[in-house]
Amino acid sequence: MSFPIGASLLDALVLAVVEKEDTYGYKITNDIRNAIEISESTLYPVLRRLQKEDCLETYDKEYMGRNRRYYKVTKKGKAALNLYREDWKIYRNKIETILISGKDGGYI
Amino acid sequence: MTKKDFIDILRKRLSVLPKEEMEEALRYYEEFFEDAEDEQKAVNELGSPEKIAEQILVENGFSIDDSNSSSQAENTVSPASKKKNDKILTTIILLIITFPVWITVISVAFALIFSFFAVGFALTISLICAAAALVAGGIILLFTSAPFGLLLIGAGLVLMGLSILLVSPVFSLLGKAFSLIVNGIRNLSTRFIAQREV
Repeated sequence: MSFPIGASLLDALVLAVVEKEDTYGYKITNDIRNAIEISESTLYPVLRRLQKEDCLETYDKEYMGRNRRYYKVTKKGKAALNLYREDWKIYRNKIETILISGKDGGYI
Repeated sequence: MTKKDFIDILRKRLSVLPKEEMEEALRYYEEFFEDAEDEQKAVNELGSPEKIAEQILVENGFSIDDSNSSSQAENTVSPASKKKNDKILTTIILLIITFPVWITVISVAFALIFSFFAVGFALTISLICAAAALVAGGIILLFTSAPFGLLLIGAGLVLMGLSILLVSPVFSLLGKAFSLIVNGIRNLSTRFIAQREV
């Protein structure tokens, strides 16, 4: 894709994925990669940072004889996610006003 | 590269981190491999462990000296806080070197403040003393010549009242002058330090 993904957009996507259901590292990576191209290397630092900022918390759950670490969105994380969603709508509308409606068949 | 190679490189590169931080990262990637259906594919997808380590170090406040690319055996890693310390150190050294300049400025400012306070204090004290003397003289005079005594007492009371009225504005003015000078010094010093840090 021609558009780079910034740090806050990545934070928002990770929070949104984890908000849907408590989930684990490998699955988060795959879910995010379905939407955008990121190198996998960027995801662990993001998860760790969100965890340190109290937006995510972890717990261990047994899975096939071993412990798997699950991520869960905290109250603070939910608030951050809602803020990201609002910001995103504003951002998207502004971009689309120029990018989409300027062209024939634009829908705004 | 196998999963083991990957983890080994990561462990080596992250060894500068606190143990807990390193274990956390290693655990994540070990689990990542276990969850992936194809271990080798996962290793390929993850890319270079050197790059991952670099990103984790940056997140933990380490600055990476990338002057001799990541293919070099060891990237030199130094905590970002060290740079900050250096900056503070240079500021301190500069302050010591420029000591003759700023010490005179500060001492002049303090001398000024002190003299303002001394003048204000002396003025009010002398006014009150004069008023007290007038009242005392008036009381003594009261026995020999009552009207003059009353006049003196009255004058003394008027003076005392005036001096008390004067005290508060004079002192608030002095306080303002004091804070003005202190702020001035603070502004100067912050500007000085800011300039050095650019």
